[in-house]
Amino acid sequence: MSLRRHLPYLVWGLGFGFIIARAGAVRFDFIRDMFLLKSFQLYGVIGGAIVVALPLFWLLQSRGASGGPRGLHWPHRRLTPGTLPGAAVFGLGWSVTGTCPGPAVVQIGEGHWVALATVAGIFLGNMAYEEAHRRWFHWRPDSCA
Amino acid sequence: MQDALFVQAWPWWVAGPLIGLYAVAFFVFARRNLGASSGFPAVIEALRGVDDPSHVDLSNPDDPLALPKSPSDTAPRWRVWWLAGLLGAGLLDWALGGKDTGSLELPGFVETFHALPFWAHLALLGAGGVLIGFGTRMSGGCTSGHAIFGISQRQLPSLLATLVFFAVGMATAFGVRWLLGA
Repeated sequence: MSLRRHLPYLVWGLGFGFIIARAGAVRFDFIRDMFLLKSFQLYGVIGGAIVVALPLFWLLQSRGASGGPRGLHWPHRRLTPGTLPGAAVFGLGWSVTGTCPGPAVVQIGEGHWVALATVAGIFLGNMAYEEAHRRWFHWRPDSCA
Repeated sequence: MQDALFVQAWPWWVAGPLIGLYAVAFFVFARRNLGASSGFPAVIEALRGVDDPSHVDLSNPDDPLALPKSPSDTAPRWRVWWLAGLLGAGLLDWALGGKDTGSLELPGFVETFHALPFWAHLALLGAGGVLIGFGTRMSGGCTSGHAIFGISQRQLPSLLATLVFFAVGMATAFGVRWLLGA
């Protein structure tokens, strides 16, 4: 493991964490009010990100096809039997805690120590899924990247 | 100026496009997508000492996850470092005076669940965390992997997953409000 090769990712994480913190995406009250349709802020944040990224990704992809940036691999997401039930389970947890996985870590940094419980839960949930998948689910898992 | 930058939340029309640009820049830099939820299994694997945390068999061309050589392949623990960056970002936000940082509990959480004692708050967060961990692994993504990267790259499974977690999240929030009579 090389420090020089990993350090850039620490900086990328710092950048992402700081943007989502300043956007309010790490706040329970913002996420609750998004779900209760009381606040537009986070719909605007997520929607704004997609509106900007979608055409840029599209452009990169079409340029890549005609000899543009080389070596860009375009991930292809598969719909597994777990994709939608898993999303439902996540939606429940997201709403109760007001936290998705990234923000839970940011919250600890912000001094909200109760988020240690959330993060401990996320680790437990990961291990539980690993075990459940091995025992009962027979599909090949899809991955984020 | 300082108040707008470091204390108050940025307006959505600043933060949203910034995240969009970030997503594209990250993809071009790392040649792969980001998913915050994948950082957690990466930490577990790092603790266990598994060699290839992504479980990607680069030698198998039939594996749709087998990627061509990318800069992140030479940084197999990048997800762990990225997650550590998030922790640092929280500290930075706190140090620069971000609104409502530094309180033991989450802003808004106490008001919503004020009828419950502190230990129940911890139990709710812990149980919710288990659902987040289980659900994101089962689904293969969360708000970053599915909603931002997936939809922006026109991946139908990600769009469907996003619709499902938003719908369930909304139903849960309204259900909680009804239950607690707030």
